[in-house]
Amino acid sequence: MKLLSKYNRIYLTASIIVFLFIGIVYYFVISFVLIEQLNHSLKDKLNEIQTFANTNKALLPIANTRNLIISYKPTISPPVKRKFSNVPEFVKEDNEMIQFRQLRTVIAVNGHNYEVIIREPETETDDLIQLILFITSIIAVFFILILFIINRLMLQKMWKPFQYILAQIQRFNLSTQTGITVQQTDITEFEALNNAVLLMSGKVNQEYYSLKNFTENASHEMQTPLAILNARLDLLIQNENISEKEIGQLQEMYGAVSRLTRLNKSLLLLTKIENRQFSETESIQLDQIIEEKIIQFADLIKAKNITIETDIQSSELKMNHHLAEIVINNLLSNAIHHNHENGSITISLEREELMISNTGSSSIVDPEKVFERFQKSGQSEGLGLGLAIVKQICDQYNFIIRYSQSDDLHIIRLVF
Amino acid sequence: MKILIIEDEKVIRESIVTYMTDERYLCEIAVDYPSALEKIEMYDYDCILLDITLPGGNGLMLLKELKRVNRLDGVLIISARNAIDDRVEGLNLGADDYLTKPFHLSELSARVAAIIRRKKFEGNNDLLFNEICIDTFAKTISINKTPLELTRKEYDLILFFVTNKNRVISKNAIAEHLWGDEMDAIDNFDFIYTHIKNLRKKLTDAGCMDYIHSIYGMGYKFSIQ
Repeated sequence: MKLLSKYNRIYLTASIIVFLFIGIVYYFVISFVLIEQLNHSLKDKLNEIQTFANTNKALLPIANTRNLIISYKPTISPPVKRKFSNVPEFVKEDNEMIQFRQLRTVIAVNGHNYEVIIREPETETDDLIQLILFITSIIAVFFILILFIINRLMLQKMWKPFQYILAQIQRFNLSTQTGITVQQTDITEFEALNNAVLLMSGKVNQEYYSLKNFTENASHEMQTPLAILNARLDLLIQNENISEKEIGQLQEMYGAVSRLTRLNKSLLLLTKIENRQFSETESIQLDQIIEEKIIQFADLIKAKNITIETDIQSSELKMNHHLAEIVINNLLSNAIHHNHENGSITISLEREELMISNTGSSSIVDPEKVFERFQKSGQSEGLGLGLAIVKQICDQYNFIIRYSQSDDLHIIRLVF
Repeated sequence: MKILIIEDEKVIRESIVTYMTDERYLCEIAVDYPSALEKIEMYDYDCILLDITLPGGNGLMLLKELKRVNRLDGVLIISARNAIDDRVEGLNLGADDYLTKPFHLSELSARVAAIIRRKKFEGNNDLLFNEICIDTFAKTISINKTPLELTRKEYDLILFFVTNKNRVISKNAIAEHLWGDEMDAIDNFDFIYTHIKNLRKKLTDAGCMDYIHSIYGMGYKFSIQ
């Protein structure tokens, strides 16, 4: 939920509760005041009756109207304190029950006790209360609406710097070197946020570059000692007096140097892909790359007597040519290396899907772990980086890559 | 043939000198930028082996200097950085080829030979070894003046052998030369043997002496004895 909606929801609920409460209090206060007024008017009338009785020793003649009803009744009860009450009564003219305010007392006139009842209808009071409440609610609704609109506009404006910095953070990309810019703001919290984000992105950038430089430098630095080993080995084997045993050892050293060289190159490549250093994209024909790679690998395929079946349709992709070559290279190379003698490889390429399957050992490979770095099957001579590199490239282009296995068939499926 | 080896790493430099001197190249060395600049200004070389990262300056600056004075020396860049940018920049600045460390000396020798051939023998690209004549321009080969049909790989193989004659070439070096280093993890070298067997058969059938000697477990040597 958006902060603004959440705020408005709370704000609206609170306002409605407050106004409801105010309305109720208001209602009681006004009713109280109006009833008091009615009581007052009733008391005035009684005083008038009392005064008339005292002066004229008689009861005030009754001239009842709609709004004032007086009735006398002789009684034997002694004079009582005046008593106010609400009495509902059916009024014929209006054909409805009407609430009356009634004052009942007993007065003594000329030695006789009379019960005096004075009534005034409360309809006008009710009308007045209703009117007042109506006006009040209109004001309340209007008030809430105005505040709601103002809040909306104000909040939107006030949150602008936040929205801006949020967009900046979302767009933040280490490899494309998009720095973060901030919008000036006079709101302390947002200023603090801006500063914190600036500081953090600066640190992240710095760490990133030092890490990137470290990996690159380490890889490059390793190449010189490797070159020394290689050169020395190349010279050593020129010696005519090497024994067969020594030759075996030298061959092992060659193997180790070549392995280390490939490892180094692969790590460097992974780092470069991670750093998005292959960002130039172009239209590539994946079918052509596959055909080229098959030709390139022909000798290896032939050496293992592998049959290769292809169903390749034209497929154009927007990606880096070098990376596309690496993907096909690694997948094909895997399919050959993890194959057995007289095995087979099936390659099918559709417009949006590439499937490469190969026969191989039926040992179970965890499909989740197959793309992890340095993950390799027991007897493999590989580095365990080939598929990790492929995965890294797929991630860069949001391709989906899946590995599955059924018996001795290993299948890699790539959806562009 | 006079070549200049500009390389600050002593062991690599010495190894190159040893290997290339045996190939009857006259090797001169420069260990840093100023001495390299001095040598370049004073002498002409058939080929310059240039390391990009040098003490006292960037090797690419030397390339610019060569270009500025319109020199035609062949240049082979040897670099520990295999950045594509460096390669492109180096080649744009007039370098003839680019080799990434680590490399095999046989590969280096073959590349140097190719550069010198391209630079020197305009109109005459023939490489001779007894009865074998390789026309490196037309990429054809003839034995005793009779043309011999070879596949692309076989041609590359014989050229690699002849430019590294009398040397033991490891199977690793041959595999990398013929199939490139992109062919990850070549787990056995049997397929090299197949190519060599075929080449040997074609050569001997055409009346050529068998110059390809197998060095057990190690590789091959192309020589007269």
